[in-house]
Amino acid sequence: MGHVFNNMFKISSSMKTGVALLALLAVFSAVGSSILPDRFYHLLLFNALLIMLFINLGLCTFNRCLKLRKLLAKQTDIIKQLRQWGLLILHSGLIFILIGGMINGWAGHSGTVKLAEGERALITRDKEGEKVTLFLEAFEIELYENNMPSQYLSRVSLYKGDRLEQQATISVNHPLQYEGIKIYQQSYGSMVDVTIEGQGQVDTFTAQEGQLLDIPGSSWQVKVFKYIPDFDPAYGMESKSIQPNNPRIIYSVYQDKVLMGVGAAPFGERIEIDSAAYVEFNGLKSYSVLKVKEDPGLPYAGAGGILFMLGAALAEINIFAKPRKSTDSKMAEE
Amino acid sequence: MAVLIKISIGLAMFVYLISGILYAVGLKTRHNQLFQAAKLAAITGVLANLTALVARTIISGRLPLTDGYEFLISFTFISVLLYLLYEKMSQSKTSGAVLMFIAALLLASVFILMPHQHGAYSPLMPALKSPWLTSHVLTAVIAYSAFTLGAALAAVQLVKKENNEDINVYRAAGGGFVMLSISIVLGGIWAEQAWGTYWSWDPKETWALVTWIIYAIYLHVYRSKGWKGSNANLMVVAGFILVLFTFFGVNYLLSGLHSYG
Repeated sequence: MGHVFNNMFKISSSMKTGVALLALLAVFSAVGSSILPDRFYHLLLFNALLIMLFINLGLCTFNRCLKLRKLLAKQTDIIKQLRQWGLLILHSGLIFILIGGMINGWAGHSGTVKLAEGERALITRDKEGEKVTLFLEAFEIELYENNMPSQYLSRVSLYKGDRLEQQATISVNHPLQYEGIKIYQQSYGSMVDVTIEGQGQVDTFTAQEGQLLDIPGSSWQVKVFKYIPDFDPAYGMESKSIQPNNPRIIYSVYQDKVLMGVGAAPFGERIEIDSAAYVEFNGLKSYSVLKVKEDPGLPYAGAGGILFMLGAALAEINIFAKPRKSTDSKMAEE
Repeated sequence: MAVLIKISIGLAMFVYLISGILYAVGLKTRHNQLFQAAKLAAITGVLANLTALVARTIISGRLPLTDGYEFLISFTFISVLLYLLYEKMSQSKTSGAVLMFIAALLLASVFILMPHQHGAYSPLMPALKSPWLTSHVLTAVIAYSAFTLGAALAAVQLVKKENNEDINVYRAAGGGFVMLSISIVLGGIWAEQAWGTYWSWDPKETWALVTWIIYAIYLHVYRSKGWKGSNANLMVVAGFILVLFTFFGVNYLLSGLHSYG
């Protein structure tokens, strides 16, 4: 029994196994990214491979730790000693990165919230169960002179219960940080205020792009397809610029789910679809899409990343050492 | 300025090609003057290449590291610069031909894939407006360049069935590996700030990982039995092909978070 155990330990801690696992990881990543780009990395098979690599890396590094003193004693050259330290630090860094990733997989969360100006959303609950909410004061797009977006900014207030905890501006590359939670500017979009009239009944909606609305008392439906800030027929469904020079709503009309027509309506125009069936687009509400993330593994991954960079630099420091003049170019080390 | 950039890159491409031919003929005929002329052509090319980079920096007001076009020009420049440094240190001229042909081809791809970008640049999109941009891309450029040098040395070793340059192949690949490792970590730190995750399995990330793994395997086995010599050199050449795929394939065939044109 002990014999079997010993052999298993030898195999799982050997560098050859590690190299084989690395090769498998490369092949799986390359193939996986082309076959199942979205799902592959969540597959059990792939994660099992990562765990095996983690175990192998852990055992290899443990062995290296045990042998370090002997290895260092053998080397009198400072560069070779640094290389030994570097190899240890590099592999430890990788272990920390994998630990950070695993913690994130088990205990991390992330999600998105869509917030229109003046809206509030629940972000999380703190340890006492009190609600942590985010209120969007304003969303702005800063532009360059050529009208390309230069920054997306969400001015927000963060509340715990009714108490204001923090006021901040979240923008791309500048997330908000609050007690282990990070909130990122991810995207934005527009919602359209719509009034619909059918058989004398009037309904108002705030519709998202792509939303299908029923006209009461009829078999008609209207789809709010897309908001175009600067409409120009020559540009089709694309906006000529990001600025609202000629704002239109592209909509489509259906009867019994059959497409009957498409139009580009300005705001404030009452459109007759059928006798006693009308639709009017009243205005626009822009919303900000924020990513909310909690990753308790981040400090480990971060520390791992730094160790990994430092270790790699030290481990390969011997590339600057003067090589021995020999034709078979044997590296005199380890 | 656009014209100056276009002419500089065209000139650099042309003299890199001439330099490659001179190195190749020099290898056959063993005439030292040919090697001298090849080196002179390479230096002329590097200067023209540098002119393009400086002109680009002046018109855009930032370092030329923000899109595929600028990456290619910087990548070629550093590759040739590293080679010249290597030639000075090692006094070996055997891999000059391969390297200069690669450099000429890289610049030719600028004319084929992005013929209208010489003077065209756009302001930075929000995600790119970060202090991490320069360090992340610069380390990637240096890594790619070191891998190019390593592959040129390894390819010559393979053809000549020699292995007296193995140590230099290792130095180039090892240096590239360190730079790629640093670049990946810096990219992760940046991605965590900009996208909210340090690793998204975006095609560029995935293929950078695959590239990193092949060099990691090389560094684990290049001195061991059965791998030493030609098999190890083959891995360095294969790694370089992956580098090219990570750049061209991912930029022009696959779309993802790293799509910056």
